[in-house]
Amino acid sequence: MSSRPHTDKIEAFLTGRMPPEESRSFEQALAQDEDLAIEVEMQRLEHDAMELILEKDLKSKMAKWKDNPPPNPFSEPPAPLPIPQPSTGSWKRWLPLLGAAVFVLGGVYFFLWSEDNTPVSPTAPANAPFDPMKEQNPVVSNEPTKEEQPVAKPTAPQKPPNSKEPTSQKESAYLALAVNEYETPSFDSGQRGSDTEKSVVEEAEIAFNARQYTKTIELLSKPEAGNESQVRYLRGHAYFKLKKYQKAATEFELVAANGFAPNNQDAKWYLMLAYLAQAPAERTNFLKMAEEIADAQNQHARQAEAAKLLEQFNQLK
Amino acid sequence: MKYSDQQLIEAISNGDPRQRDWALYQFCSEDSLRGWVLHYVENHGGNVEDGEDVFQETAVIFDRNIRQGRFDGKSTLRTYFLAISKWHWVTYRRKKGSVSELKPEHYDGEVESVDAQVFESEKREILEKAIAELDTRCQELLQYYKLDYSMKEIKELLGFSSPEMAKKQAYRCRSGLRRCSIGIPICSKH
Repeated sequence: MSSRPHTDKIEAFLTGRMPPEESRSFEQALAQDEDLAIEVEMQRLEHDAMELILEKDLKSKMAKWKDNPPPNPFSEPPAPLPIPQPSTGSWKRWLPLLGAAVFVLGGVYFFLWSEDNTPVSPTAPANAPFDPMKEQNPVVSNEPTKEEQPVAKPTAPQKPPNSKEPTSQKESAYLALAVNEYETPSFDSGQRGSDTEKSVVEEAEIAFNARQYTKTIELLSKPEAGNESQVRYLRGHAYFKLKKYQKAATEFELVAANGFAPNNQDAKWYLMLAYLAQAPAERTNFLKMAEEIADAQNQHARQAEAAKLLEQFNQLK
Repeated sequence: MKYSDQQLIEAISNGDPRQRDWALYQFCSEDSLRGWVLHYVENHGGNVEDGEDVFQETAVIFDRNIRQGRFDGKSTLRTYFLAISKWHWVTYRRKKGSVSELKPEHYDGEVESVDAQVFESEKREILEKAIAELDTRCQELLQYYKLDYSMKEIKELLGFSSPEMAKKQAYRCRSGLRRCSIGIPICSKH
């Protein structure tokens, strides 16, 4: 059979999306065409396998959920603002409200500014929502490597301003601690050789060093990207820089679980930070990993740092 | 649960990964559902461990049936969940060989023949081996594929450069899965 010509049809048949009439005639065709029948069975097998993948995933999540419930995605997006309809009145009726909002925001901004010793650039407020384009086209800065990280003072960069969750302050503190501890690694293999000789991973490393994190992930998605633990380790860092801590943790987890991976020790350290960035939801995993690294018996290169971090974490509690 | 059944069905079937997880969590975490299942199993010849297994399998079947549109809406989702667990307990006992006679009151669903059960268990074993041959990224992609995510959504979730690239990779992963399922060596390599 040349390149599975019936795939879409079989797909519709197997998933019950084929109209009943067509489904009946398809069944008749199946009875007469052995090749087609085999193809249907093969595709059914693929579906059964995919179902099994979902089953395994759900079971592992159920085990995780006992300690760490998933975040509620329905409470996060702020309610959409009412859009004035042209037929119901003039836009001018919103002007007083807008004026009041500007006044209140101005007051809040002034208050925050006066509270903080660090001057905040009016064009890049600390609490501004994440903008991936900014990461890819960074503004020239005098700071060496940590310019993207909020240091010292915990801020609340990820929550909408109207979030009423009691843990949000704690979340911000954990996040700030994680981000503060995170050191952006510099990958240097991309510096070697001419342009024509660069592998996908090397190109990705160059993109990462240039702080083009989305591009890094895209490059590493290529099937020919190379060694899996190397790819995952780099992708983990790219996700971390994009503040996608859950995805970063998934990538680091796999490298950390592979005792033969060259970056295994570092992956554990960064995995712990990715968990910390998601605390308190990932508190248990953080503590487990931090205690493992801090345990002298494991002879981890960052043993002392982990012990110190645990202390800081406990102080926040 | 403060969400309507319709909202939960929508989130399980068509929600993004976080919405889906959250909706399923509403059932997997509910103590009263778990308690009911454990109690039922214990009262019908099982122990706590059996009850936990049945509860877990019930969640899997429940999820699959909702996604495949098998829930007809004639009861609440809670009742449906409990009905699945009752039916599943019968099958479970049968597989363990602890039921000598099946009476109509033991079940309200179809029960597989022993041959079919053996076939299913062998097939499962083969598929599990095939899945293990795939890398985790392929497994994740196939999950989203099975959940009917569009190539655009898969592109976003897994960081592909374009939906076409995601589609290409989905095809590769499916072909790899197929080759592994029929026992071709080094099957997952593209």
